[in-house]
Amino acid sequence: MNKRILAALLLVTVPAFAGADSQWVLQQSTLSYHVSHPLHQTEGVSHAAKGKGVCHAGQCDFLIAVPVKSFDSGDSNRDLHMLQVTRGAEFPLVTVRTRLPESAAASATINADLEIQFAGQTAQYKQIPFKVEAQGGETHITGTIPATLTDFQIDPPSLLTMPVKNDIPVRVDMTWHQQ
Amino acid sequence: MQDAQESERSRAYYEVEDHGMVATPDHDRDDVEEIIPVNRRGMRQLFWEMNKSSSSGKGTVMLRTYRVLVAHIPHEAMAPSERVRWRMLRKAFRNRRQCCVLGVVFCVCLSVAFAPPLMAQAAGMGALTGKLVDASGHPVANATVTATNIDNGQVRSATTGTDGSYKFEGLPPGNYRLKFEAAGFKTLELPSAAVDGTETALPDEKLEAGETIPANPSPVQQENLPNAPSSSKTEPTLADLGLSPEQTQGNAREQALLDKRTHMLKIHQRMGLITTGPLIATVIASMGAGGKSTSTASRDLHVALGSLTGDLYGITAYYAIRAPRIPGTKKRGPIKFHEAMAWIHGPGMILTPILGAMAFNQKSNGEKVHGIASAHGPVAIVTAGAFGAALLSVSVKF
Repeated sequence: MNKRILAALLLVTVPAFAGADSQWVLQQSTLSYHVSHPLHQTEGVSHAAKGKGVCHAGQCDFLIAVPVKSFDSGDSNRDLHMLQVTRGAEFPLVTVRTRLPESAAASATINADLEIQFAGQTAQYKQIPFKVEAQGGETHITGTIPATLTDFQIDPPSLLTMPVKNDIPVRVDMTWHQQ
Repeated sequence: MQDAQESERSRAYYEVEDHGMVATPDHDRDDVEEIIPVNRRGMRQLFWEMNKSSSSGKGTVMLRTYRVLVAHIPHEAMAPSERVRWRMLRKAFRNRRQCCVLGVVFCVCLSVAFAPPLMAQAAGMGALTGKLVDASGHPVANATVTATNIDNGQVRSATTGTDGSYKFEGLPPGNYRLKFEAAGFKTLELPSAAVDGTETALPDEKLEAGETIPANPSPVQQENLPNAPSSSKTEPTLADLGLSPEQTQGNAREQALLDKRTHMLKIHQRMGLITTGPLIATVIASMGAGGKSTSTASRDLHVALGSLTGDLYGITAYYAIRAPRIPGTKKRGPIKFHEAMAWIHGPGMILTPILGAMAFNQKSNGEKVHGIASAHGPVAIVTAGAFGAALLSVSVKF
């Protein structure tokens, strides 16, 4: 009798746990791109990213979106130039999608496959390493995405006729909260 | 000993002169012992070597579209047409050398702003051609070929024609990474293709049939990726992030404004750099124009350079003033200082020639420069200083 009750409980509870959804919300973020020019080394920083992760059946789908206009390099003229070359008015958001196992939050590092939409183009980056630090209900993630201008078919912006380098590594610093 | 070497070189030089050079794409003479492909720079080196050493003059050089085979052929064995070609080639080489010298002078005379493109032209722009075929050798039309300059990241793209051929013209010399994409075929990449000042023909590239990777993968394809976002209903959307429609929707009109603004400011930058040249020259020429022992010619030169500076400055200012403003943009950073300087050098550029004209008249009448006209020099110095500071403020990070 007891075995039947136990089996019945298992049948009820396992699907219930399997179907249990949890969510992650991006609390704080600092995204910064680095541009290298013969006369300047510039960083554009944004704190305006919004993100959400939805977990289902042990897998979490994350979506992060950042307005292109929100990147600030300390010079409005340069930011407008970047906005123009990245077609930021036409494609106002940078979106990043990734899928991670729910257990990734407990790891020290994660390797994520990222799909980034930017400037009307989509680029995929495989196995990008991120450092993970979990503290209470919050998870701190840092890493660098090795983006290039050609990945998004962006003409290199130039100053005094000299173009910037193709590499624009994007440093990511995010704090996620699990709900 | 040195004389003996010089004699040997002279003798070798005449031996080379006595031998022949044959220009033909399919030469197969028996007396050709070795074929060494070289580029345009190599051709110059080859000629130089021929003139300084006892080289037997063997080798193959590329000059534009001609493959030139240098062979060890006795002069008397040469056909008359071959002798003509030999002379034409030497003449072409000499002309090219003269053109290079003129090109360098031309570059120096013009401003720094146009230096990179002009130098590229002087060095000779190249071209890249090729053809895409499928596994059965049929041409692949409408394929996208992307050429990325490995050195500076500049990207050019072309589409193949109905015969599968593609061509990139006006490519700066360098190494290029090529990417071939076509619907229904696997993407193919060529890690490196060298382009010099000539037209480089690549061998036919064969595309393998396979799945197309579009720019925006569909959700189904995304799920096929090993660690890609799922297409499940739980996947978050932009609406879930609380973004307003203004933040998510593109604005083509604003993009057009940005494009126009950047275009005009690029011209503004170039013209500003160009103006710097005559501005400095005017300041230098002023040293011989204002003193007691100055000549009319010195003053005329100063006036001419000053007028040129003023005209160029006017064009530069026009492109900055007429560049469209982007609504909702607050000015920050060095651009504020750049614009503040414009409030100094702008009026200065108007005032300086007026005062200069007054000073010029006084000097021409044999008078000492006096009154308000004596402010011409100080005003010009302040104007030039403000112009330089404006230029530096956007060029160098302080």
